[in-house]
Amino acid sequence: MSIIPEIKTVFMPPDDPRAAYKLRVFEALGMKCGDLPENPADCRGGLLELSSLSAFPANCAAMINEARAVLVAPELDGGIIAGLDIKNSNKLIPALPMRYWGMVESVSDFIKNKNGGDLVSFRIFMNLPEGRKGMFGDFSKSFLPQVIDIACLIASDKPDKIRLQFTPGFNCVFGIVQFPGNIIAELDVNECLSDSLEPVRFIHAYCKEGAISNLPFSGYTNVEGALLATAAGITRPVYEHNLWDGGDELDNFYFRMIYKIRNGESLSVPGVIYGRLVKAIAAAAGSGVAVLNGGAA
Amino acid sequence: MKKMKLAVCGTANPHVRLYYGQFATADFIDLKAICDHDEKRLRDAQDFFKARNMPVKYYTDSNEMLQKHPEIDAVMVGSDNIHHCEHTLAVAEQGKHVFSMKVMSMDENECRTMIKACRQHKVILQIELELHFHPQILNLKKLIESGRLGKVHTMYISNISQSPICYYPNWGVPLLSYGKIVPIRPGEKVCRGGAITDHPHPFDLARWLNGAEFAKVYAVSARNMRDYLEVEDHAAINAEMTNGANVFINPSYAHLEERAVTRRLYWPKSLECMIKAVGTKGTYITDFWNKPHYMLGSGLQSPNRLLLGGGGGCPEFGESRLDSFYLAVTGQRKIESSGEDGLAAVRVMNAAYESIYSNKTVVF
Repeated sequence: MSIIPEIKTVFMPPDDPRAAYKLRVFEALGMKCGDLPENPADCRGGLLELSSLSAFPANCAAMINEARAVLVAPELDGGIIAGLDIKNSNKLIPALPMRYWGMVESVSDFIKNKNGGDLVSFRIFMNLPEGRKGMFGDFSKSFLPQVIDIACLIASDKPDKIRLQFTPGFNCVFGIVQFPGNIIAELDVNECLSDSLEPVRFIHAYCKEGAISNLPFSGYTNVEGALLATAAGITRPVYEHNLWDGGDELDNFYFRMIYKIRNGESLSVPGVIYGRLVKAIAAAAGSGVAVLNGGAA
Repeated sequence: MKKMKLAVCGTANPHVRLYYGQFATADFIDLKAICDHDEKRLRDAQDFFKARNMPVKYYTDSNEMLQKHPEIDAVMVGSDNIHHCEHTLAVAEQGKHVFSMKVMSMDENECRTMIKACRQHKVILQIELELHFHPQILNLKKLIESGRLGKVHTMYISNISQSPICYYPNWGVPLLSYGKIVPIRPGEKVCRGGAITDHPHPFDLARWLNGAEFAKVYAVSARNMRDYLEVEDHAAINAEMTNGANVFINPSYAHLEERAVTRRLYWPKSLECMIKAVGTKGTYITDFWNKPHYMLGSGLQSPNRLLLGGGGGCPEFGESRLDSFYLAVTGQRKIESSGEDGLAAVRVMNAAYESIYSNKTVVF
């Protein structure tokens, strides 16, 4: 438990483009939110949410000095901040929400605690469907830098070399980040997934004696290990036939039955058992109890 | 069905023993002989086939085997990579068809020599690039060709496995796998011949699926997870294809193996063969080693511990490794994954090694 009192108020410019979303967050956390006040003293002990601003209002230094914490755009020109008369610049927090992703914390803890020995390499997959384009801000100025930022957090180091290969015409990048000690990070970052897909957000870190990952073993693809997504929807194709769009796994049952019958591989089940089952269930519907002897059910 | 009379030349490649069960049961194969200069491996093969009462002959010398079995139609070349060329040439000269384990050789000149010899002697040379036959991947190829995904502009392909070297020590000897000793980077102890050499599939699939060649390759290799390995266990490659597609490849031994006496491929996710193809009209994701269910049982390879299962497929006859080779040998099917395909993959793999060594992009 922290002995520091919670921040209870937030001040935010009214034209913040993500105001609606942010207000929901503040409300859920029981924080009161208001516009930037005319009197800087009103900011005392509060949070100034200035992350949408590329330039500050005239009285911002005074507001910053009164506030407990100030959220600023991470790409903000350092010169702007240096030019302000700010008593304690430690209160300026870059708005990098990806840093607070639970998986980043888990991977960082895993490495820090040496649960799997020393880090060797890691992969970050951060793919957004086209319809969610921009949710982390501009692709090149905010989204991609944030992914590289979490790579640096995980490696706990500054990179020796970053190589980014863009797919021409798309917000789509593969990256290789080389850290000291020959630690390598792979980045797969794009906003190109089909809209019916959930975002793909996985980290898989490899250490000398272990690994940590949220890449799912199960539930991502169907039992055949495949999924096909378009803007209209997701199908999980059967491996017997690429042109069959069955929807989900349940819709594939009938298809596979006919496929097996066609190939002479149908399952032969004595009809008498099924018939007895149906009769017993019908009896149960009347009496509430069904008993089927003889090991048939 | 007329059976294909088959011999096996070398069992050093761990994939060879994956075929033993098929040799014993398939109705289109008549296994005649096996040779290996390594007596232990040869004994393992003897134990397997004797237990099944199969009249297979065993040799420690490949030339002796070829001379004593003029009746054979084809030979599976499963020796260490460094011996593939010598064995393939000997087999081709005898007029026998060749089914070669991958990689055919990391020496591109040797690859060309093998292709030329097989052409001259009018025999088939098929390389074991078996992912062509995995139904999920075959479906992706058909989806791309049909235009269903639109223009595929981005593709991520992984081929991540456990290290086989604890169980097949020859697999970690750079000279045997790569054919010569070349450090992964100037002055380093770790040499070429590991994760990249062992995983030609992504390089092959990038070509095969995109219907395009590699234009540029940039590659890195992280420090090894396993300090005792002489060969690299990590690599990451970013490439540009001639059709403009942006391709990322991860061929690694990044999945840690269990510390078990016998190799277990069940550790939660022993292998990952993932392809994520993003096109202008759709996205296709597949992992052949997807594990959609769990199981626990005394009869499993790792008894009574929770295991993840799944994957697999149900190819039809002619759409798998040996049966497709059989159909090609009997003139009923075109060769899948030819020597030319094998060489094309090797060229890119060597470019990746060169890029790691120089820390520069290699342009074809």
